[in-house]
Amino acid sequence: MDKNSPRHGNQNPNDELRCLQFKIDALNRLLEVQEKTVIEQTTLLHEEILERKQAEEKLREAQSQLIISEKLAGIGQLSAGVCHEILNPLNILSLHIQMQLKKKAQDSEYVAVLEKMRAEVHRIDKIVRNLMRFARKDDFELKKIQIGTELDSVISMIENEFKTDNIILVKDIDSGLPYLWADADELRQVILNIINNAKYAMNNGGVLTLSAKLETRKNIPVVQLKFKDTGPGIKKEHLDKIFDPFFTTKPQGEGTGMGLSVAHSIIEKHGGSVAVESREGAGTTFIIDLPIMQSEKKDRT
Amino acid sequence: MDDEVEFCSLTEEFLRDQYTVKVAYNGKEALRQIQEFKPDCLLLDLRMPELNGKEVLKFLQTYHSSVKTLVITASGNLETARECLEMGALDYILKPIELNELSDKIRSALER
Repeated sequence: MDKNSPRHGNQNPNDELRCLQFKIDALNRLLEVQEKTVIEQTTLLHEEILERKQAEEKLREAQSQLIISEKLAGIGQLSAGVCHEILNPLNILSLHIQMQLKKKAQDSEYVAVLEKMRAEVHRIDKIVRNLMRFARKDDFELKKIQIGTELDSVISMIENEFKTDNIILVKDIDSGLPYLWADADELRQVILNIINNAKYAMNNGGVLTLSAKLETRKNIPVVQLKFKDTGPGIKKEHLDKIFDPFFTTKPQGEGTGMGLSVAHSIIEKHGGSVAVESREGAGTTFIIDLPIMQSEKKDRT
Repeated sequence: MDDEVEFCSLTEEFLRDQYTVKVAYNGKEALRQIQEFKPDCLLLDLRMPELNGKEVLKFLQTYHSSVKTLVITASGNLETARECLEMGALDYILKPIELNELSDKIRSALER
């Protein structure tokens, strides 16, 4: 007969109670073990869900970057050929204007029209050069640079304009950032394009926070630059177009719409990435990740 | 020399008051004229039929290294510019060109 069974005919009440207590304790212990297992399993499940969500988010981000890169690569390929074909007839148009200016220098009304045409030729030239710059894949001069120095050199160019426009500049640049292999001219162009956009967005004043830190992105050490403005933010429907060539929200004649596409192209050629975070009414942050060469990790400034 | 006829004609019109100007629309014709007229200065496009600008530069480097050559091109490629300068070109001018600037560059090339 089972000693642990609940009822024994000739047992005294005390024994019966002890037996019951024993069974209750055993059940409690079992319950505790099971409860612990349930908690552990739930925690594991939560962690798995979180990991899965993070993986999905990373996948979405990578897909979105890939779509942008493919789209821009296609446009770039087309642009490179088209640009050359535009510059030759533009050159002839420009020469005709210059020759007419020389011949009709006395006719002020005529000269005024020709000067306007000449200015438009310069505008087309600028757009085409930007497009060529965007399309160019190989024209690079990589040197060892300190990102802080490049940031400072761009800031010194625009500092006075910022004061006039009531924009406060906050710098948060880590000391001891590693050197980067980069084309300094191209990188300064990227910094200037993004800062100019922020400046335009804060035409009533604001704060631009500029940071440079060492981070890890997809297990690769990168120098991460952030440009955070307190402007009105970017409309949701514009967010996936802002790196497209010729996309601009500025009034006609105020922008070529090439600044961010050129920036994207340059950063990609450096093996880096550029992303944007923005909500209407809550400002915009541009994030640039520039990979550090393995041999440079210990080579601090 | 340039395969754009209108460009050649306008540049010639601008320069003919100051210089004797000969025009060639392709590389082979350019070589023939260089042999015949032995110019002091050459304005050279890079993309041309028959012989391209770099091939003409090579020829000049070997047989007529005293000709002052200015490259005029629509290509803003740094590497190409560097190559041309290494092959003896004195300047690398981007289209669309400014005629007064071109005039200054020819003058300073001839003075070298």
